[in-house]
Amino acid sequence: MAVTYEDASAQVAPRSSRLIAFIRKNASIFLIYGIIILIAGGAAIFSESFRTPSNMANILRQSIILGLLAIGQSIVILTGGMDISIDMMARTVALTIATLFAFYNSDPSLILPLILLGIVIGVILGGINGLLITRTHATPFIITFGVAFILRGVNLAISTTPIRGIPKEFLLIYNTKIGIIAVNVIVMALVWFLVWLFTTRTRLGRGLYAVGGSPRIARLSAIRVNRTLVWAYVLSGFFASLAGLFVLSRMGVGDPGTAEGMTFQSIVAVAVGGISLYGGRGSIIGTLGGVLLLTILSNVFNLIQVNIYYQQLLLGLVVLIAVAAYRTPRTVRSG
Amino acid sequence: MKSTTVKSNWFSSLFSGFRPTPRFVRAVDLAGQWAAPIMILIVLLVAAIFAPAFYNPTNLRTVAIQFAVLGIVAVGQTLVLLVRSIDLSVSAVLALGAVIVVQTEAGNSLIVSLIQAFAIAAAIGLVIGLLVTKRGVPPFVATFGMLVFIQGARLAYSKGQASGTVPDLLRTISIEQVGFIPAALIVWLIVNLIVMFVLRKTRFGRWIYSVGGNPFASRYAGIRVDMVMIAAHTICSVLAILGGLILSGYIGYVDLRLGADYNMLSIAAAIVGGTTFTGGRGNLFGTAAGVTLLVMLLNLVVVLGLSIHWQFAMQGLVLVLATALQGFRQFLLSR
Amino acid sequence: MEASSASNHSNNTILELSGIDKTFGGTHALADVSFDLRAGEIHALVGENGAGKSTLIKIITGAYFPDIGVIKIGDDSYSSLRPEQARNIGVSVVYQEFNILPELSVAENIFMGDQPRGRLQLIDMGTRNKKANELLKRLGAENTINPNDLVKNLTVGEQQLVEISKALATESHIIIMDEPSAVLPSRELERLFSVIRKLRSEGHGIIYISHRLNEVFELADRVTVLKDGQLMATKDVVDTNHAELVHLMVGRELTDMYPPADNQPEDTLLEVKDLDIDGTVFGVNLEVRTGEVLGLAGLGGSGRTTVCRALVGLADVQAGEITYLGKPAPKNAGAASQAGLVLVPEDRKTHGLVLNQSMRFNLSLPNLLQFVRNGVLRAGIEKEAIENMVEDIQVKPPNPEMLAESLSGGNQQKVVVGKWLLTNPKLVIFDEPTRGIDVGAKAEIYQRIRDLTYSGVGVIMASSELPELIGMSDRIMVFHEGRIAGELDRSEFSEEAIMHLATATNGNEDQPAKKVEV
Repeated sequence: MAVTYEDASAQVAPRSSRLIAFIRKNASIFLIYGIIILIAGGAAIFSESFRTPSNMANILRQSIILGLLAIGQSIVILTGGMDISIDMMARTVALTIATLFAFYNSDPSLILPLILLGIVIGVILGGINGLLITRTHATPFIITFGVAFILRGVNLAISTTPIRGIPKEFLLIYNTKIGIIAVNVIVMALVWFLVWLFTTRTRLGRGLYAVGGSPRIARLSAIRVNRTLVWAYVLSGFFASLAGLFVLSRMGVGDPGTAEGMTFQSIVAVAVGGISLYGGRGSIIGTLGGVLLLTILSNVFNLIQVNIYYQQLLLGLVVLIAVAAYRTPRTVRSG
Repeated sequence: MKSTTVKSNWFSSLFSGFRPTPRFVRAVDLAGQWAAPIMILIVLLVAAIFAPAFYNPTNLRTVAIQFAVLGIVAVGQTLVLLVRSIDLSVSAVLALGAVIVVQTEAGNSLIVSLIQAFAIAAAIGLVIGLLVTKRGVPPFVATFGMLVFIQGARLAYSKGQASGTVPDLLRTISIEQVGFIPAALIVWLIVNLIVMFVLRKTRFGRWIYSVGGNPFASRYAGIRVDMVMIAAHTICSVLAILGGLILSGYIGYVDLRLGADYNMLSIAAAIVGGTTFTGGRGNLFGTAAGVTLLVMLLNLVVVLGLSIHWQFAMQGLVLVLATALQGFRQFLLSR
Repeated sequence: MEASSASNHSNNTILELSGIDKTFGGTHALADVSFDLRAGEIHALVGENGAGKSTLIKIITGAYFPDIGVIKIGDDSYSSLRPEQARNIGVSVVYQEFNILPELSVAENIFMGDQPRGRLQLIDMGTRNKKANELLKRLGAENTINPNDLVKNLTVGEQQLVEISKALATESHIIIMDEPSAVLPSRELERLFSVIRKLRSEGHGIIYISHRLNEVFELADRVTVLKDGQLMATKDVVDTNHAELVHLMVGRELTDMYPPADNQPEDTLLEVKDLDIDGTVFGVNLEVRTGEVLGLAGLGGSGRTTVCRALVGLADVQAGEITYLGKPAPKNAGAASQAGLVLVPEDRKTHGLVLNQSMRFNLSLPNLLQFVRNGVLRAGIEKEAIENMVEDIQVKPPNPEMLAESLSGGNQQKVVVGKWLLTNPKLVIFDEPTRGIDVGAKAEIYQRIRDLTYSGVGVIMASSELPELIGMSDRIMVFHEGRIAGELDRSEFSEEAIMHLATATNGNEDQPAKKVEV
């Protein structure tokens, strides 16, 4: 019997070496980091101000807001959904907390409770998204789109002008540095690592992939599909709330323009990083690459003083090319 | 282990364990079909009691023009939804048309710039249609990408400046009245009658419903599914630009936020009017009812003296409720 | 993980179904069926399409509740099972359609429901890969499949082994295999068989469903035959033979459902030469004449349906010629129906009807041009034509505005047939024209087909129901694995003859292993 097997295996085409297989498996990740190295390398050669260590450190810090939002977006997109409301959730958290700080006369002792409250708000908003989507079987894209509009109205009602009165200690979240490296960059690195662990090494994290790959097969494999989906949107709300708090610390005021346009950037970062917009495929490491790429591009554009409107055009062009180059995944034998 | 099981039972039995009675299903189905007319009556009643200023002739005229613009755009969106697609680029196309006409007015004749505007819109619709059919890009991704691209192009072209030379003809169409009916409303009526006629009385109309209802069966019946979808997208973009021309004529200038809400509004109008995301169901009477409802609500926010910001929340709420209702209705009907 | 003892299990019953009854809307899918499975045996389950095999399987896996009957697993008796309950008791199924995710690794797929976890509740990938490797080793595949490989990079046969490993990972002792050989190229069959034998020697009970009787004789210990929801027999394989099984599967009294075959075939209408399609159909030749019914027989996946689709321009033809009325056949479905060449598809809900539209809408769909005057659809003309057709095909209720989804299966099929008849076709291809419809509707469709031949229309009828092929056809061509295994004339017709041609396993064929690509 064993003989038959060796015969059979001999007929199978010889497998490429492990290294080549590894590269092929992670092609999109190598591609994105290759592009980053090219662009950063080019910028470093041509621009003196780009290659300064402080600019590099700055880029890392600039990447945090988009990073937090893109993490949440990745988690949702892996399940085959999309969350259009993340920018507005971040804004709601930022404005609410700023208002409360202002109301309590910038009392520094409230920093911790209010951070917790901000997170709770994000989690609740995400949970509402998740429950609406799973309970009514409606399209995630449209539901979160509608929720985004509701929140936009709520945010405008909270304030249309910057809210002052954030305690100075709160600004330390953004400002504290060790040498030239901001502490928040180190914390963010840890966050990326934890998210990577979550998506690769936990039951729920892998469940995201299974649900995004095929809800039917996931269900057959004893994975609770609806619960996984609700968790995905809750996490998206959680990370949006962190982004909102971070923006608050960075601006020093409750900015009514918090996270404007970031939803779309987060989707671009996720898609450029190689996570399939149909769900079930891709890696958070790719998203990190996408985030870094977008941040570096924006930094370079600012250094060489590209008009903001042409930046928009370029972003649009990149997106359109990425969209046109999109490949439809053919479902294998999974339906 | 035990506790998770208990928790999950509670969690999943929240809704998914229920068995709907036929009467319940019928109620939800009827609610989905008649949501818009019922709501319109309620709003009219609320307006009569709390905001008699709503019935003021000047106000009604404003409502009529808003109705005309949104009505024209929503007709295109309905066509696209009927073939199981969606168009998130209508807002950008709408604004683009206004920009083209307003800014070329200086040099070119109006006819030339009008032809330009419609040709560009048709090209945009064609590209979206090709991306969706030939490259298999999910419609919301393709049109979202197109949205960003067009916005970028418009900003790069206009440098973000507002401008205010709207051609006289457009002003006439938007502001003049025929008898007591605003000219814009007549444009809406003509568009609606033509599209209604096409949907009800031509082969193409049947194909639209068939492709949305079951693309596979349509292909087996010899219908060119791809062509129908491309045509629907092209018509949608052309109608969006028509709406943009009328809107710019009414407002009298073109600024950055012109038309920004029309994605949301047009989708919400169609969905509230009974068109489903799953395609093949819906009609223009429903959409017209949806448009009426939305425009009245938007106006009521103003007339009631509420902060204008609540318009956003109101739009979002209508979209979320309508989507949830239609999603739930489809889910119940498909069981 | 290992079976408790490797000694003699042969009389140790692990699953027993007794007196199972299940009806769907009036038709008996299963009537008083009993079935048992012992540890360490391969029990084959055979029967025609619609005999009740899949219903029986679904009752064991908890997808259906039986109306009457008892399911006994081990020492516990149940009146019905829920899916997760069945899974926990140790029942798993290897379907033809694999339930594995192509983008995930082999090990992850195997342990998808319950991943081994280590410190901090994190998934322990080392242990997972080791356990996966142990399972693969039990199947003798540890050298060909690496637990880290993505499933999409495996051959179909390898994917099937992953699917089987997945069943083993849940410590299932009852493993149901639903036509596992149908998806495999012939040269991967031997490996599958040795895997199945290995599982038997470990003490698992295996229910093996197959159409291919030689596999039953090669592999199985016992065989159960179902026909029309009835249990025909359960036999030790050594006590039976090929002919007896075929007789048990298909033998039935011929009824007078079939109208007399007094049609007169005349000129050639359609000719197919050396047709090759995308690795599923090879070198097919056939010819249809006016007034003739050509039957196409063959098992599921044998290429019948693909050929039918290709004839109306719905499949990509690699090589070969299709000549229709002396000219090359139209290349798309629209042109084909204009030329009078139409297909009544196999799956009426997916390919035949727009379910959320009315009967009128569906009947009109391919015929709209008939109702157009000056570019405008004329409701009057349409109404008249549709009302005539509704009366003609005797749909009940005869209300053209009724939604297609609310019609019964038989009436839906009549609408699909009607919409194509309205095009005034010259050649009608019926793919499974009577699947899942009641006897009365069947007889009407047979009469309709016969009437078509009287008026000089050619008919191709692809079907897996042998009696109807025999009752209706002038000639029958039998497909086997994408090739035509033989042609039978009316004088040679018998269910046995067709089955022999359709199930003959020709071990020399060596198709390339299909890589699944994404």
